[in-house]
Amino acid sequence: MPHIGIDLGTTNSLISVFENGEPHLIKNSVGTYLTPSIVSLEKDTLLTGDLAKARMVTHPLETAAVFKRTMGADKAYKLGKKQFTAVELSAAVLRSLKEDAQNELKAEISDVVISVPAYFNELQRKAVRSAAKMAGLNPERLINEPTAAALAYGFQSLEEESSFLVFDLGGGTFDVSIMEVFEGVMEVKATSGDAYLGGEDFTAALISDLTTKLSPKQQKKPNLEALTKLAEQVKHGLSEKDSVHINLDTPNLTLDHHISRKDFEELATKLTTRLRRPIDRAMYDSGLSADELEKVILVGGATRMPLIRSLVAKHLRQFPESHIDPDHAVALGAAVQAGLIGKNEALKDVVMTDVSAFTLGIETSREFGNNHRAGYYLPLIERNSVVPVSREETIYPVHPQQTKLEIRVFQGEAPDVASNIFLGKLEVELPRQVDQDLNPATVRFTYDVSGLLEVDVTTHADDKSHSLLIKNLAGEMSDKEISDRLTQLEKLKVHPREDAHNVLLRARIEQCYAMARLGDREQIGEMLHAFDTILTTQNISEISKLSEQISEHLNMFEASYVQ
Amino acid sequence: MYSEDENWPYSVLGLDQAPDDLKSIKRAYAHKLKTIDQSTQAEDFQNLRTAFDAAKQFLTYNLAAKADEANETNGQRTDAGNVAPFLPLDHKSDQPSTTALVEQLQDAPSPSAPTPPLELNTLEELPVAGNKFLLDDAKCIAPKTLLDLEEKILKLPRDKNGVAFLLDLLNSAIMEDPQARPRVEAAIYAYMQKCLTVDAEDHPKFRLFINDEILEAIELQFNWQSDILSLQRKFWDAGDLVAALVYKSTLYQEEAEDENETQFELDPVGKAVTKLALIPFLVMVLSKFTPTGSAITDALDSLFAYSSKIVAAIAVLYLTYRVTLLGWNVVKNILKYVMPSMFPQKSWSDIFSYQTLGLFQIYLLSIYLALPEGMDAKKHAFSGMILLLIFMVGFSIFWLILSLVLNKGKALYHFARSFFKS
Repeated sequence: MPHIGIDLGTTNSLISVFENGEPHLIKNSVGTYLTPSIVSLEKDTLLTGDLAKARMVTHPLETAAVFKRTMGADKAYKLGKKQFTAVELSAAVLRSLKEDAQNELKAEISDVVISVPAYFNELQRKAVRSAAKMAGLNPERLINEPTAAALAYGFQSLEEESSFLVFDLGGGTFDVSIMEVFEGVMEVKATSGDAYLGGEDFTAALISDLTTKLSPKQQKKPNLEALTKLAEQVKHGLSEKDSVHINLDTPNLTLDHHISRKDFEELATKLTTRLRRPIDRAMYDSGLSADELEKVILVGGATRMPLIRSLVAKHLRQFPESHIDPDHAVALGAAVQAGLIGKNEALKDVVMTDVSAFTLGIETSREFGNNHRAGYYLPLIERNSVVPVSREETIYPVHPQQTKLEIRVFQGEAPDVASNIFLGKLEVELPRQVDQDLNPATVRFTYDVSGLLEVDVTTHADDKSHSLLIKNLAGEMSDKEISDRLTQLEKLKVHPREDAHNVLLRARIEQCYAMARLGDREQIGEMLHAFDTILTTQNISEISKLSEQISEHLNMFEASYVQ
Repeated sequence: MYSEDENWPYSVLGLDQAPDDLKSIKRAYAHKLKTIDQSTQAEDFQNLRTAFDAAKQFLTYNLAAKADEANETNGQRTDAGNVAPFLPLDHKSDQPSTTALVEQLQDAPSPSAPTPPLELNTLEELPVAGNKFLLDDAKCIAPKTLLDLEEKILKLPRDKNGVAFLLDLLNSAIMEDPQARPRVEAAIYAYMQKCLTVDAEDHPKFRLFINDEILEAIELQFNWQSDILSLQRKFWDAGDLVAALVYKSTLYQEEAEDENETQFELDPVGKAVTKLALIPFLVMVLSKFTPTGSAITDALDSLFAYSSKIVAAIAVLYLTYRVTLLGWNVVKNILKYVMPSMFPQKSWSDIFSYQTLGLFQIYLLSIYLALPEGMDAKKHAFSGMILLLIFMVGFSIFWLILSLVLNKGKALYHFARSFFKS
């Protein structure tokens, strides 16, 4: 059984395998490692990855992207006439990744390790598990993305003793982790992050700026899909050049605008402020100072932006490094974890310890004068405790005649429970006592490696204990529900792998056609016609020859409107 | 358990005695860790982990003690044992200077002669544009200036001007200076501690001039409201401040609920009564427009007589019900005042609802309008209106005196708040 790791990303997803003592990435049907986390519906055929991405501009109503952010929520995505949840869309992406791996490894795949953002709560984790089951996979373990990124790097530098910080800014999430490697132990010291901050937010900042530059008529009904693509190109352009000039003239998008790196930095000030906080938090929790860090490693596609690099350098007073391709680290780390779980020969002498990414606690009342006020958070398991972990706290009833204790369990860092996430509650009968001080109860939290929380409450006066396993949360799907949805999904056709290249190219031509100026349009229209004609001949060598020519042309065309 | 074992924590790590370097502790831990399966042997893992952390801590103590001993025998005092919590603010240190880093990173054409990082030595030197501090990436605050700044924050007036100064400070580039940040945070914490007061129920809260804007700015920089752990670890006496922050967020929720109530809430019966009261009124208007003496007018007149009686009867029933309810509320709220422990979480403004009274006035007015001249009920409705008005005014005065006497004006504020809100 191969040891498989999956990075289910907001923007791109990857699959990797641990074999021959190393993690390797697996190519998808169009020959790249990154599979865009985008799903599109063409009549009854479900397209994923690059095929779906290319349809973003031409068929926005039948295409869904950035759905990872609503994992575990009830939001429905409408693709044409059919509705999908984020779980189902993720399942579609996972299924295509699974096929890619099976195709390459020539073996059946079931057990996998999937990475999730460290700040995903129980609900969101359950949603990821459901998506995996729906794709016919067995999610053996979920690994926190920052831990995975650190593992990928730690695995490479197992020989030397070191402490390093991994700064992972992906498409939709931001994670920081600090790891120490010694004697074959990879110890995560602290993780931190922002679940709602990523490269997509920088794109969004650019989009809103570009929108203000449009004519009033176009501002009213901006072509968002085209603008998104444009903003992405500007973002990438600014990673290579000091300034970018946009010159675009299509029926619904007219723009002649100049953006420099400095302008972009100003647009993103709010976002960069938010980047600093998780770094401080992780540094503080790890107990290390900036000069004790030996390395700072950048991971995640968004760290290609120069403004991110300079922010990290300024803040940690150190040159950041990026040995591993920033897009690949998480997937590689997930494969290492799969190898660790599967007790791979190459990892015989290696252990990893992880920490809990968030604080877990209960609601308490506090006494002021003669009054009690509820709503105060009492942390039991502090964030960045090494897991598995177990902690207890003694609590007292508020009133002498109190007959019940309600233990409400929360996850989060805020001092008021209302700002934290409610996980579940447990009601405990109190024995009769004269004084509330004689009637204490002990609350014990136990948190294991797979992220399951167990709550035990023992009342002292009668020595009874009660327990609650936090599972079966709302939103979690039963196995039957999953199999029902699975059969529904299977009714939809999946595009045959063989002509994925051709479909992709055709969609790309269409996309350029939509973006092109009137003169170019004609030329691209002819390209499309020529390509369609040659496709009917089924002459493979001819098709590939023309494909190459056309892609070259399209590259030139795309480069011309963002300079 | 552990205390019975004299050699704890070293026995758990498989060591015979306390080692004198970190490396051997780590090696022993690593060796033991590899024999444990974390997912099935959770307890063993925890014991090992506790021992590992303890051994590391003991080592730090031992080393510090040894260093002290050595110093004492030498008769010299050095700070070798202490690690400075922050980097010294010295640009000639080994750390690469920020400017140089940034320049190299951005591949920007470097200026002919790189400007040396500027140290600001007095508060007055802080570059200002409008009322904003400006500070370039390259610039840091000198230790002396930072001291001045701390002192200034501590001595800030506790009013709007002080808060305005803090706001500018929090939005300035000074916050990007890693040395200045924690110290500014501590100073602001001390200032905020002095801005605490308590509400009518002894619950800590901020004084009025601490507005949302400053709290948001603090949250953005230091995460006080979203990170209880670091706040508590940084400041051991944060209890009241945390309470005030929680109070602030629960207050918003209560206010939001209050706002919902303000939207003239009628129960279904009340809604029906107000609608029914319209019928006799409409009938009366209609009869005015029909020619006098005709059969229609007669029919309308008799309809008016019947409907107005029915409506008046329903309204009286409903009023009785509401008055009972109101009476119970008043009793309950007075009880609440006498025995606050029974109703711990309500606020004073619930004592008396002027909205309810205002509603009664409207009912009475509609009944008064609906009833024909000369009916007894009409007179009663009128006198009811007057009585209610007197009661309202009387109760307000009574309440004012009560609050002044009993509550030293705290309740007055709540009264005024609820009054202006309704």
